[in-house]
Amino acid sequence: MKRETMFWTTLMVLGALALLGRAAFSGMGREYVQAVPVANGQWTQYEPATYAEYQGAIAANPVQTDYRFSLPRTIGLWLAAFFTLTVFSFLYGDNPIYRIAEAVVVGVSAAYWMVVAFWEVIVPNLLGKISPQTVQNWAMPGLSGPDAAQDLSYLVPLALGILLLWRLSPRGPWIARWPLAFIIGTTAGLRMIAFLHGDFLAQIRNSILPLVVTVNGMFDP
Amino acid sequence: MGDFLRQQWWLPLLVIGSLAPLAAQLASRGFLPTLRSLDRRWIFLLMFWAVLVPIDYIGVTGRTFPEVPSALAQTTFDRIEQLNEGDPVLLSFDYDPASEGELAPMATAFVKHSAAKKLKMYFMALWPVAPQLIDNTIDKVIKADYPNLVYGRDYVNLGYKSGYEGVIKVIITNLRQLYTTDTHGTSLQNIPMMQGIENVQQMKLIITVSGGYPGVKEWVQYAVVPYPDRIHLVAGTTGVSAPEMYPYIPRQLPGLLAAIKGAAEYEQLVNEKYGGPNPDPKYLEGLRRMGPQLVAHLLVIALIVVANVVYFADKRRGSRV
Repeated sequence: MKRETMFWTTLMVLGALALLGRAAFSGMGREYVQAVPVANGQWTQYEPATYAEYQGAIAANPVQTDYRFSLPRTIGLWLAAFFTLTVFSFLYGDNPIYRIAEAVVVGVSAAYWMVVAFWEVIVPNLLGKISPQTVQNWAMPGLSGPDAAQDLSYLVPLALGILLLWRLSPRGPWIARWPLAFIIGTTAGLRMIAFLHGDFLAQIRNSILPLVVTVNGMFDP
Repeated sequence: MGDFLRQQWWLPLLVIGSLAPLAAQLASRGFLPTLRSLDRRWIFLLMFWAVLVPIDYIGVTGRTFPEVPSALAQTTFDRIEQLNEGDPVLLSFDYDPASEGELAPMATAFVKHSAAKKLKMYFMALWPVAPQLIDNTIDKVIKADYPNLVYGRDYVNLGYKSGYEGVIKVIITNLRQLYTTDTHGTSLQNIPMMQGIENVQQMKLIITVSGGYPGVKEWVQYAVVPYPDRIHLVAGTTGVSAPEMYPYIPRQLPGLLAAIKGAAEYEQLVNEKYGGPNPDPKYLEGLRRMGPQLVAHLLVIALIVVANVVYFADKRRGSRV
């Protein structure tokens, strides 16, 4: 092992041991939560709490259950710390652990985007428009009123979306070009108009200023 | 400073001790020869101390470096200050954790200012991870310091919708076409402060905290430009995005906070009026982060000057030869 490699490896191992030691003996790296009843006590929501709040609650009442240690959040905290250090390890050199962290970040990000887009857009704005009653019974009990009226014109974007995914099919993937052409055409049109109005024309207007300005007949310097 | 040095007496010793070999080299070999062949790790070390010492100073003493608000920060502050109690404002969080270090302080300050003014706050996001950041800011500011404000009556989180600038294009004329529920799935018709709100033109002010695309530029192009007399926008953005926004000032974008510097100036204004004698440290994040940035920038400027001195000295010597 090279001298430099030995030095940095020893430093990293000592740092990791110090962290583990503090975690084991000083309470560092533990997450606590506070139980908060919501909806008139129908269910309980757990909100983040500090170690000081937990200690204060234990001191006031040793058998209290409002503040408690949270194992899932603690695992999440340590995973976050581990992956942060793992990403920084690239400064030391490319390594398999960094590659794992890279793959996890990409995978988690893609999954997060997909889940958010599904629940924030596809369910309320597409399925909720086509079949509001079904969505209300299945996923969104709060979906009601005139905003939740059925609108079958949303079958058009549904069809375009299905055509777009047709690209994954082994037969006729060219069909995906039609909705793609629609997206590109619409986006190009929108952006061209926006740039013309917002940047080109508006900047010309902002640039043409009067050389002499008078206020109430007086010269305004 | 005296108290700080008494408490942290070891820090100057550490700094001086670590830089002593460089000083010895400068003394023995001379200024120009040393700088000509300076190991870049000395610059890394100088930068390390330039960042660490102010962080330690601010952390130990609780004091922040003074800030003089610029005209843009003042205009941003004034635009919100001119609003009356109960006026609706749209706060669009268009950033993600990658730019949170730069943008979270100004987002916090915007929410504190709006809460202190008792404005009706409509939160939304054009970035998918931003609803979580909205919740964090609501917890940190509104729930912690303004518990009298009620969700649904004084503030609402409309959440994220995908579609980039398409979202803006739709909600400037019909908010309910995209937003049927808030982020918790409650129908908008059951949220008292949504009664009568049909589109974004009804907002007295739009505040966007933006980390890139979609962000300030899209709000200007798709909201302010079509309705210049009805929609008014102020923004906070990252340092790298800010130069792209300056051409919109002042007609399309009257107020802009650029990076931590802008956040610190705005924090100063908000704290002067609403912070009390000892503002909570969470409202000083911009001012605290400006300390290391200021010293690090001064170091970079000094290094540029020194490098130019070496360059011109060498050139002059070369021309003589």
